[in-house]
Amino acid sequence: MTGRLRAYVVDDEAGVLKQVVQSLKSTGRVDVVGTATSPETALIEIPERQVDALFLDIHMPEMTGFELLQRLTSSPLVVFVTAFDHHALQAFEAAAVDYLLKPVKRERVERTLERLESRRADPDAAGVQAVLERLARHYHEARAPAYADRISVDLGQQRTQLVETAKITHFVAQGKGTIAVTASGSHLVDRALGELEERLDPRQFVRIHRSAIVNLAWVGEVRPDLGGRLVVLLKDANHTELQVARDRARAFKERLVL
Amino acid sequence: MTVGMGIAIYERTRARLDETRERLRARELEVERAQRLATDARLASLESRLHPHFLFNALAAIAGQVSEAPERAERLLVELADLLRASLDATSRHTIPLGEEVSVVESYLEIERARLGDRLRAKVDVPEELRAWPVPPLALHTLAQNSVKHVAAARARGAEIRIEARRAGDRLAVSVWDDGPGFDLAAAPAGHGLETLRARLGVLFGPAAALDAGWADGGARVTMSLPARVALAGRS
Repeated sequence: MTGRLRAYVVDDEAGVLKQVVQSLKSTGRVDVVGTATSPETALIEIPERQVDALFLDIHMPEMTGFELLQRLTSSPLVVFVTAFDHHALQAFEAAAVDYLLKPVKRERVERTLERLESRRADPDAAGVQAVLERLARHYHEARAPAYADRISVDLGQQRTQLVETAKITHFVAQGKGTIAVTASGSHLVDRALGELEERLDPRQFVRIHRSAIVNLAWVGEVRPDLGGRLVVLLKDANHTELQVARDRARAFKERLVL
Repeated sequence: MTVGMGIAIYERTRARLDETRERLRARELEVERAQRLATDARLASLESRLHPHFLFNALAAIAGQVSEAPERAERLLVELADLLRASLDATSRHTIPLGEEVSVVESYLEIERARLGDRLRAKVDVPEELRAWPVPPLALHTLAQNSVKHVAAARARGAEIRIEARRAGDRLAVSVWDDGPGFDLAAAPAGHGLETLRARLGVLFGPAAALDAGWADGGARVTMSLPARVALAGRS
């Protein structure tokens, strides 16, 4: 593929579409070969017009940008254009060649065009199929973790009790099971520490040792001991000290932004 | 005997005092509730007006006008400023003249038109003689926004919207009609703009005010009817 980039712009809001088009044209580096406020029209025109790059709005009535991609029969490079997507920008960044925020800044478009130019040689890596797969993966990952907010502990004599994870200061491996420690006492959990780790919200619980997971909400202080190892001091009544394994110290510090 | 009478008088006086105190307290509560509802409306309106999706798209649409139609762009910016100001001011008064509210709605429609183009086809018909009628701030805006958001912006073919004010006996009837599918007002969730509006009307005007939704002329119409005076004494 050579020559000037052939761009197509889709946005359901005519007034907004105009601004996106103007920002593209102002660079003098692209040919806008078509625009549509209707996704249905776009589905017909994009394959007909040998479009290299599709600038696509996401929130549209009747058909979202993602649905449009699923039905598109050609595979241009995709740039998402959005007014505001607090949580999704990361996904767009990862999935598409780039994303643009509305109103579109001219200087920012230059960067997008550079990215597009460099990806043109390798459409498989950045085409519609790849975008959809990456989006699907992202949303799958974002949806999958339903972390436990309660854990059942063994009271003996076949009785179990539910303990809120927020109340658990830390977990310590104990044989094949695990001890969950709360301010009020220790409870036996019939699962291995590694297994528990997967069920716990990683934003709250961090594995600091082969045999320990700590609840960040209960961390009072972190300091090096005499041997230079990191020690965590909990905010519980006993001021429990937990050692951080050397090979986990760095990751742990990053979590705490020390 | 005298002592007995004294006690009886004292008891009655105290009962009356208690009653007055009760009434005052009830009135205070009512005023408090009115203020709280006005705050809710302001927050709801701020949220929707400052809603990032609205605001950034509005700014993009205005930016799109700058080079080709600079005067229109300038006007749109002023309309946007008016709209934001109206949202911020909404709690300072219980009611504003209908004419003032209409100009807020016109600013709003102008901006939505800049975004949606001919998907938004709106007409406003408010006779001059009704423009002094007191209405709660942002009340009509809530109704107009409801039609824009749920019909004009939600469909590729957009919507016809008609905003009208008429006098019906001793009441004002302000209605917003659109050619959309309509909806069930009773099903509006708490905190929804229309539900908040209904509560505000109740507090300000008592049973004299009403908010009704129905079907008319192949579309849906929401009508707000208001008496000429607010029921909250000493307030306007």
